[in-house]
Amino acid sequence: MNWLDKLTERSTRNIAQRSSRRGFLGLLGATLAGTAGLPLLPVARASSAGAGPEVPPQSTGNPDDPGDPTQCDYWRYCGIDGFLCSCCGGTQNSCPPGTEMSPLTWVGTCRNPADGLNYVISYNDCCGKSSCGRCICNRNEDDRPVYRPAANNDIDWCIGTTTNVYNCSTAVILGLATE
Amino acid sequence: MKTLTTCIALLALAVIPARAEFEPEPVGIVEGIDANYPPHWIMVRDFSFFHMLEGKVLVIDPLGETLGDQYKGMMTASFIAGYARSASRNEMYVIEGFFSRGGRGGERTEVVAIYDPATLNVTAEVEIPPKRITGMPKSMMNSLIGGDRFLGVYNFTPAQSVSIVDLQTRAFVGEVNTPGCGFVIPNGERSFTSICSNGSLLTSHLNEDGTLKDTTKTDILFDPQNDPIFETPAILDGVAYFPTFSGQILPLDVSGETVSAGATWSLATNDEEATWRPGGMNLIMVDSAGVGYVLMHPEGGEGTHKNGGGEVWVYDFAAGERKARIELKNWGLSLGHSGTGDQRYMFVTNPDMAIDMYSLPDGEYIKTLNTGAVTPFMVEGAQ
Repeated sequence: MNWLDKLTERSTRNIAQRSSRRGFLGLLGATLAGTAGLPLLPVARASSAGAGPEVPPQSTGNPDDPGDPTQCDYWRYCGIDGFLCSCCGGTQNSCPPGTEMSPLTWVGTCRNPADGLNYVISYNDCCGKSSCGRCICNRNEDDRPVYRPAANNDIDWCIGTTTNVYNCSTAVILGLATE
Repeated sequence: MKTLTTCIALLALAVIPARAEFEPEPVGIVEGIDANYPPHWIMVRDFSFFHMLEGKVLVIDPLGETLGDQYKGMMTASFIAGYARSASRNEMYVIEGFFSRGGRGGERTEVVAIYDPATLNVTAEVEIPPKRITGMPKSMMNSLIGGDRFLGVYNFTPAQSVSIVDLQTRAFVGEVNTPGCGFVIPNGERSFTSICSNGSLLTSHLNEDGTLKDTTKTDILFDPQNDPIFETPAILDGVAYFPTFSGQILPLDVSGETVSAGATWSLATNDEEATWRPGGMNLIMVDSAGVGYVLMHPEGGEGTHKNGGGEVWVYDFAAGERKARIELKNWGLSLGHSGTGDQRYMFVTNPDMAIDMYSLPDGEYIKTLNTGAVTPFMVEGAQ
């Protein structure tokens, strides 16, 4: 794992030095998130905070829904790709003011650490304003290529909305997954 | 002291106009470029992921020693734009979208902007339906079909189709529906193939005028859920080599009017490499000498297919043989190449969004290019 530790260390340092270079964070997030047991957090935190490491974590306030929805490692985000609406004026399941939630999207399955059950998550995009630009996050559990659109997070899902302009992404729980 | 400085400055101003040889510089000069770009030049596609309406395609000479030598110019490329180039016409195409109210939307317009490589001016525009797929870019989202006669553009609304543009008449021909299938992989004389969600392939055959003649469909050729092929192949001598998530190569013969699959083979050559996986954005390519390259990462598994990699493995794709492993200086996320003969180069977009340049096929690191691109997800040879 030395290469990954080194990458994490170097990249975190670069984030601090160049806030304008946030474009790589999602890609780096993908690099880290897919590797079980490795600390995604240093990079995810730096990505999410935007205002520096002194920003305290937040929570859903619901012990059955544990984690910080402004962080890439929040359990619902196991297949998300985009800017987290929780950092953009919305929440993990609602859009920022003045945007419109896409009725179409892809659906994944994530395991809730609170009860160990798998839940069906709908990754609805929020549309109608240009890119939020904060808290980019890319995790790819269950993601499949674009030609399997119902299982793909690469697509701009601002479809069926007034405009295709993408702002941020949510993760809405639809229900319990059945095997 | 200030008074003395002022006096000297005034004296200098008084003297300069008196020099007989002085001529004012002309105003209004705009540079041009030799229309025949050298083969080692690259087109850096900056998708500007944080400002999607402000993407660019940069024209870069990677061998230039100074910043001025390197940067030749740019084209704008709005809203996760596509890009293609016709060698026979020596013109470039940017497939881009605009909104009448900019970042807050409004009416969407999609065009194929045709660029003159000598001036980097738009010489013509062809409007196409505002249905083009947008999202993370893949190279086969648009392709030239029938030599350089037609351009196919992948639409997703989520109904899937391909817009056909006649590049000779510079006119929109029409839409070809590709239900359940996506992408534009050129094959045969005037056909294109799309990948279907059930693991089969749909081939659309065009008439001479670009309208749909008929279609053919293969049997199911791969498992799209458990071991899907990536969307982007490397194409060499009429065969499209598709990597799969698990590290197999599925060769598809695209030389004829119908496509057919060859036997799959593994990128790994021994048990110790069994957990290595292909991954990244543009993760497979063939250079101008026909040598194949795949971006690889260790300890792969579910969800690692976009991770990129720390090594590039070198292949003879036709023989299914690995020739070498290149250890990258920095982690890589996307591959590109340029050049011919002894001047072949690989370009690897790294996690800092800079571009590492290597010689090919040996993989010697040369330098890192900082082009100013914010998210250069793709790098292509200029020719």
